[in-house]
Amino acid sequence: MRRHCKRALWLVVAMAATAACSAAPRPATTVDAAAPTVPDASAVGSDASVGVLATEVPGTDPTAPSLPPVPGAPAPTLEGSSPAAPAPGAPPAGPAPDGGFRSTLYSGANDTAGITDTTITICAHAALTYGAAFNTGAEDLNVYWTAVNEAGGVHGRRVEVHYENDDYKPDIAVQAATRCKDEHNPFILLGGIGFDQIPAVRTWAENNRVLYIHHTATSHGADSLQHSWTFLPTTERTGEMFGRVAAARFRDSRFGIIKRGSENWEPGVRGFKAVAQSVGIDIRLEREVPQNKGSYIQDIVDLRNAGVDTVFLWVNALEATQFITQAGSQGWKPQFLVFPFNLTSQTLGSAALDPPLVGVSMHNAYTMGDYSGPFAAYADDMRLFEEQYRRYRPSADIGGIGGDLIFLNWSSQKAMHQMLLACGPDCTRNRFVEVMHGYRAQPTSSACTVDFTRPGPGNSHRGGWALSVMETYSGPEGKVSWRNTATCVESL
Amino acid sequence: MDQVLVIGAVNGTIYALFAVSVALVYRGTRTINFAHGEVGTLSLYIAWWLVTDSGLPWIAGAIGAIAGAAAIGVVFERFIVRPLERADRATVAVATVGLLSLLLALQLQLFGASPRSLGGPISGLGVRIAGVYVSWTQVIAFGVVIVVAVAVTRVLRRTDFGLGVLAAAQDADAARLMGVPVRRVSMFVWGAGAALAAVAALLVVPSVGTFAPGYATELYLRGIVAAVIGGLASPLGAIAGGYALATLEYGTRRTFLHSTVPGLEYIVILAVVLVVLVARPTGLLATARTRGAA
Repeated sequence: MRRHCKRALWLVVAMAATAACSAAPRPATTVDAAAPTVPDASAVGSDASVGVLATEVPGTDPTAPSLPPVPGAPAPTLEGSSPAAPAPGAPPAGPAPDGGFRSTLYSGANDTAGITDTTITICAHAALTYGAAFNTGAEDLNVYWTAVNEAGGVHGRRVEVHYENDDYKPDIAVQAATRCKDEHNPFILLGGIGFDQIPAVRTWAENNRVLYIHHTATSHGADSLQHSWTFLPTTERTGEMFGRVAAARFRDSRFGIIKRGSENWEPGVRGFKAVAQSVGIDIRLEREVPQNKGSYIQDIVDLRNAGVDTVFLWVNALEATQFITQAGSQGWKPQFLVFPFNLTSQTLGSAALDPPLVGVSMHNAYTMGDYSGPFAAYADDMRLFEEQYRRYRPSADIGGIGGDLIFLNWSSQKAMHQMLLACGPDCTRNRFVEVMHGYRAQPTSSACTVDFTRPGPGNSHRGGWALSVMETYSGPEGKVSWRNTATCVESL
Repeated sequence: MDQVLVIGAVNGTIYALFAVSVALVYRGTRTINFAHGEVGTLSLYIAWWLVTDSGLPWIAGAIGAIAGAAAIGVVFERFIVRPLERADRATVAVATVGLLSLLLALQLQLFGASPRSLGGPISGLGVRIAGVYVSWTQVIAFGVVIVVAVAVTRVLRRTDFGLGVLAAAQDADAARLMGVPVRRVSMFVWGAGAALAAVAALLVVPSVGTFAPGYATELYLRGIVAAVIGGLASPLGAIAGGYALATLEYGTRRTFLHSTVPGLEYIVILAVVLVVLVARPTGLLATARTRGAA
């Protein structure tokens, strides 16, 4: 019995060690700028883009009190969305005097939380623990806001951003969100990358009546939520687009699927399979793997035995990189469909070109110094981005493995800036909600159109519909990077 | 079946490399070093720095990595373990959790979390067995794990120093009275254990492809499971546990190839571990001698 107790004690200590290894929380970071998300090595595969928000419609005045719809687009609508629950004591929601949507979600001090005459406070929960995976620190992500603040801020207000580490775990993310609220009382709570964290924080935000704008997540269970918004396509839609790529380019292939075992990741695989199977694609083997599995030789051999020649890797960037490396060690070079990150392509080098990797993402590709071909459409943003980094953060490695993430983060900050400008000098949370509800535009050249006006349950809280399809190529200086083969498309 | 055995051998070698170092430290100190995996990872960064960054040959990087790991083990013993000489062994185990956190922070601070690649001593696909390529590094690892286990077992059983290690682990005061240099023995065990972690990491990383902070800890935890199955106090048992674990893992997966039950192999492994703990707490291959040590 004593020995058994001793074993049990060891097991408890083992669990503590595991927790310590994976948790390793860091202190909160405060910066004078906003970065919606922080890159996360363990997550990059899934919710790849950091971009969160939309910005100006080209050719419009970004300081206008609200953003006009795209010409020819339907008028802003709330059709299909659940009516917003009014704040206690607030009048019910309904049409504003100008005919637009009127939000009564927030009342009293909660409506003006985090915004004063001089500052706008934003707090983000993000996986700071893994931020360094992209040679990227929080300071590297704040260049855009540094420039904005230096130029006078947003309607004279400085933007201050606080970060709380969610360690890429749902329970820690809720704690981080709680700290955000208790210690910073932000105007907006931003949710960083994390298929598993966001659903947990969405529930928390609903219970605490906090304005929450998050990264990509499943739409499951979100249709009736009032306090959460996303500017990016859902997990389901991302998986569907992978399916469309499979249908368009690899219809006659024999597919294998390697996927993360998580109910929050699974909807993406279901989306992929629904599209792929509808056109008769042969899916030979589907395999669930735990996070950080390490050795995939079993899976590789099984896929090869099953005659698979195309693999859909629904795992994060580090895991995908390891998987592809190990497949090469087995002399096996199938076609891979992965989340497109320079982290994977640059780490793999020439192996990422044999054959070229194919990916789908909510952001557009970035390769420093390449403004030709598919990059030309948003080269103005790329140049401005590089100019700002040269001036404010020359040490940031924007040409390296994290350059694409830094760029899309910058792009989303530009979008957020426009949204805050559109909210006007008298901005409140309700006003910000109203701006979002009527928004349908391409915010900036490097972002896809954001559209909160589509009918359907929950769609007034979802603005992302388009994704970009990418392929690896040999970029400047011989670095293997990604470039778009289809930019901001909803179908192929 | 052939492939199950080959992959069991390949993955089993990975687990066994870590398991044997678990067994060595446990046998010599009666505690588990939870920082072991990250000592291995840090040693990989040292090797990467020497080989990739400084252009030295692989063997020079390997020697530097092993020496660096041993130094970490010795320093930890001198400044953490020794002051805890009178403390419960569980306290020392918890201290190793602190070391684990420290090493993670060090890696992030010094090298960032970007994935790095480090090749093996010999490049190329290796030999093809039953349709599976076994790289030369994996072949070397197979040999190393056997040699290390036999050597550790022999040293512990057949040499005065080895017997001193076991005696110190059993009862430090009694061993000291018998003339065993307990402190030197302790330093040797922690240093050698850390060096073994470096050897394991160096031989495993070419199979995994890349490494980053925290990378070896997952594999190390499997090494602990392997050691528990085979015998925590028996290096040879730990190795057998590694191969048994990997074969069981892949055999289950192959048997239920199209199962919709997620993580079925882990359920089977958990069941096996529980059965072993209940039926034979000291491990399947523990002898009367090692049972005493456990």
